Amino acid sequence: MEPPEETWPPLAEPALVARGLRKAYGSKQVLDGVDLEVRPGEILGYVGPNGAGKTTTVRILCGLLDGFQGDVRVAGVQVALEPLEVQRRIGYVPENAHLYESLTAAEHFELVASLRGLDARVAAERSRNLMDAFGLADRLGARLSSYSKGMRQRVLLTSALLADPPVLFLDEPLSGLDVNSTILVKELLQGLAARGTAVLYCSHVMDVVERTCDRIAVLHQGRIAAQGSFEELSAERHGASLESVFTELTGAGDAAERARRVIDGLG
Amino acid sequence: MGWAESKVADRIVGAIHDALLACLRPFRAPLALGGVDYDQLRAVLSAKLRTDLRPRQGSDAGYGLMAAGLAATMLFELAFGMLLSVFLKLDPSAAEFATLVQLAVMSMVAFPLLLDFDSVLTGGRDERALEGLPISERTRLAVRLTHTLAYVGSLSLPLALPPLVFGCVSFPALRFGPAFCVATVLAVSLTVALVTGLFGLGLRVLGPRRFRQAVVGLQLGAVVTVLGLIQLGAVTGGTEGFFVLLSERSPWQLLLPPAHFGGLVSVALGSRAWVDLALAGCALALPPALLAAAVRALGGQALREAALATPAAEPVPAPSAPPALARAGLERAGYTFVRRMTRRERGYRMGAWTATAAYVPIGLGAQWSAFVRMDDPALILLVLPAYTLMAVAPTQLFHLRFSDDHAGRWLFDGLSRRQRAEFKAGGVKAVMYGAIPWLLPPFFAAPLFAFGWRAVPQLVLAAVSVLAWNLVLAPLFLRPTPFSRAPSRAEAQGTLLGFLFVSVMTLVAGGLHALLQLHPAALGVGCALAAAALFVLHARLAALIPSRN
Repeated sequence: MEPPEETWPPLAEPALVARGLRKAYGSKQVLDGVDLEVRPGEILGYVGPNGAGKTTTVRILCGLLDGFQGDVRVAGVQVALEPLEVQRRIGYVPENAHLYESLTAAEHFELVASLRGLDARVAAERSRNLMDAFGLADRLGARLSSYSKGMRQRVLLTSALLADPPVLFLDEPLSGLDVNSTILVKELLQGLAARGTAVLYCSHVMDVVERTCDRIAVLHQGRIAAQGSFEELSAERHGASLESVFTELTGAGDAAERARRVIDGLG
Repeated sequence: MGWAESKVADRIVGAIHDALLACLRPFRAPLALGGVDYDQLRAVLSAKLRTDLRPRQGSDAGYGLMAAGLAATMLFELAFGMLLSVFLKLDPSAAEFATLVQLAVMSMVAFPLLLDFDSVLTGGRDERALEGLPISERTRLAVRLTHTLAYVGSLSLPLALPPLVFGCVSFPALRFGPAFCVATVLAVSLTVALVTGLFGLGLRVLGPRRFRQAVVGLQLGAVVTVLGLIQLGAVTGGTEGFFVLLSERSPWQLLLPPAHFGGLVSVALGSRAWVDLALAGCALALPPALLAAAVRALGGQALREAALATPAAEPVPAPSAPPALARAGLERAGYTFVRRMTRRERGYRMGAWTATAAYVPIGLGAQWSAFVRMDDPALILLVLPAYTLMAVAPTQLFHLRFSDDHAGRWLFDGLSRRQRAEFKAGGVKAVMYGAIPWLLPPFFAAPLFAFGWRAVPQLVLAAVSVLAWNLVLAPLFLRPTPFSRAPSRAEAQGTLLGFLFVSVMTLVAGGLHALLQLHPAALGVGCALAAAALFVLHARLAALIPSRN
C-alpha cells in the first residue's frame, strides 16, 4: 500500500461525479440513471424514502458494489477501474455499525490507522482529539461491546475522519446520537466543508439536511426527482419546508389519512 | 474480578496472540511477492485473534474461539496425541509412525474445517467490519487463509506434540524432530489447501450467490462421503488394506498424502530409496502448489460476494404442531418458531445438520459391526441409543442457541421466567420429534435387516428410552432462548467433543443392555417404564427447563 498523504492535494473539480448511474438486482432496477455531483467544500444532502436506492448509491460510490453502469468518479478516480484507490481517498460511515466488539476503541483506531497506512502517532493523537470532542476520551480503553449505539456511531465517525479524507460519505450518521452530539456533527461537517472536504450526506432527518447541506438531491424510485439548494427547491413550491417538498416529490400522500388507516387496522 | 477482566487472562491471551503473529513474520517477503500487504494482514489478523481469544462480553457474546472452549479442545487433542504415541510400543519404523500421526493430524484438521467452513472462510462478519477500508482482495484472502491456518494449527499442534516428544526418544532426535515438525506444518497446509480448494472449486462453478445457498449441501456431502468411506472401509475390511498400504513402501503410496510425510521423515533419517525420495518430493511440493491453486480458486471478488450474499428468502410454510406434541399458547409458539428457524437459519443448518450427518455413517458402521458380526438383538440397546438420538439430539439442541439474528432476542425480553420456559419446551419438542422421521429409518434399517421383526421390541425400548433420556438432558443443552446468542466457533467445537459424549452414552446404553441379560421380562418392564417416563417428561418439560436467558 502506498503511504497516505499527510494532507491530500486539492481535488480536481468536482470531488464526486456520477453520470447515468444504473444498477439492477436481478430484474429489479434499483438505480435508473442517477446524476450527482459534489464539489470540494460542498455538502450534498441525499434524501429519499426507504428503499429508494440511497445506500446502493453510496456503496457504489465507495467502490463496494460492482456490476453498475454509468460514469462514476470519486476524488478524480474511476470507481469501476480502481475501487481500492477510491477507498484510500474517502471516509465512510455506513448505515449499520459493524465493529470487532472484542477490541477496545483505541485498538480499533490502531487497526483503522494500520489499514490506511497512517502514522501510528498521528492517528493516536487524532483519535484522542476526536474522541475527546465526542465526550468519549475516557472510554478509549473500554471494549466496543460495552458501547451504546450512539457511542458506536461516534467511533465510526472518528474512524472515518482519522485519515482526514477529501471526500466523506455519511449514511445516516446521526442515528442514535444524542442532541449534543448531533449539534457537534452538524458543526463538524460545516467546518470540514469550509476546509474543502466534499460530503455526501444521506439522512431521513429533514430538519438537519435543510440546515446543514448546500444542495439537496431527492431520490425516488431509483431516479433523482429534484436537485438544488433548499432555497431553490422550496421556492419552486411556494416556500414549502423540505419535509413538504419531500412528501410532494415522493408521492407519500396525506399522512393523516394513512395514520387513520393504521389505527383502523388495529380494530 | 472474573477471568475475563483478570490481568493473568490478558497476559495469556497476549502471549498466544504474539506467538501466533510471530509465526507470520518469516513469510513477510513471500506474501509481499504474492501481492499481499503484510502490514494490513498483520493488523486484521491481530484483531481477529483478539476477538477469538478474549472471553466474550456484552452484545458480542458468542463470537470468537472463546479461550475455555479452545483449551478443552486442545486438551482433547493432547490426549489423542498421547494415545497415538502408544503405537511406538509396536516398534514401527519412523516413516510408519510419522505416516500414522500425520493421517490423524490431517483428519483432525479436515473435520473442523468441514464442519465449520462457513464461519471460517465464508463468514460475512469481517467483510462488514472492514467495509470501506482499502484492503485488496489478495490481502483479504490472505487474512482468511492465515486465520484458518492459525485456527486449525492451534488444534493440531497439541495432537502432534506427544508423538514428537516420544518419537524423538525412539528415533534419532536431531533428525526426526525437525523433519516431523516440517511434516506436521506441511500436512496442516495440505489439508487446508485441499478443503479450501474443494470449496473454491464449488465457488467457481456455482458463482457466489448460488454457492452461498449450496454450501450447506456441499458441506453435508463432503462430511458424509468422507465418513461413509471410512465406515465402508471398516465393514468391508478395506481399512486393514488401507493401513497395510500406508505402512508398506510402494509406488501406490504416492496417492496417499499421509504417506508423503512418512517418506519425508524417512529421507531425513537417511533413506535414499527412490520411493522415499519421491514421497518426500510430493510432501514438499504438493502443499504450496495446492495452496496456490486454492488461492486462485477463491481469489477475486467471488469470496467476498459469497460472504455478503443474502440467500433468497424462501417462503417457509408454518408447520402446525399437533396438539399432542405442543400445548396451545407459548409452547406451540416456541414449537412453530423453532421449526421455521431450523429450516432457514444458515448457522444452525451448517452446524447441527453437518454434525448430525457425521453421526449417521459412524452409527451405521457401528451397527453393521455389532449386528452382522454378533448375532444378538439385545445389542441394539448397546449401539442404537448412543448414535440415534443421544448424540444427535444434544447436538441439535446445542446449535439451537445460536443465530446471526441474535439481536432479535429482545422479542423475548417481555416474557416471564415461566413463559420463557414454556417457549423453550416447545422448541425442544420441535427438535426432538422433528428429528425422528429423518433419523430413525437409517438406524432402524440395519437391525431390521439383521434380525427381522424380533428386533422390534428392542427398537421400541431403545427409541422410547432415548427420547426420555433426551428430555432429561434438554435443560442442560438449551439454557438460553432458542436462537438468542451470537454464533460461536469455539462452542461449535463442542461437536468434536460430542464424539467423547457418544462414548459416555454408549456406557449408559451398555448398562441397559446388561440389565436385559438378567431376565427376559426386563424388556417388557423396561418398555413400560421408559414409556411412562417419556409421558411424564413430555407433559412436565417446561417445569424442568431453567428460565434464565
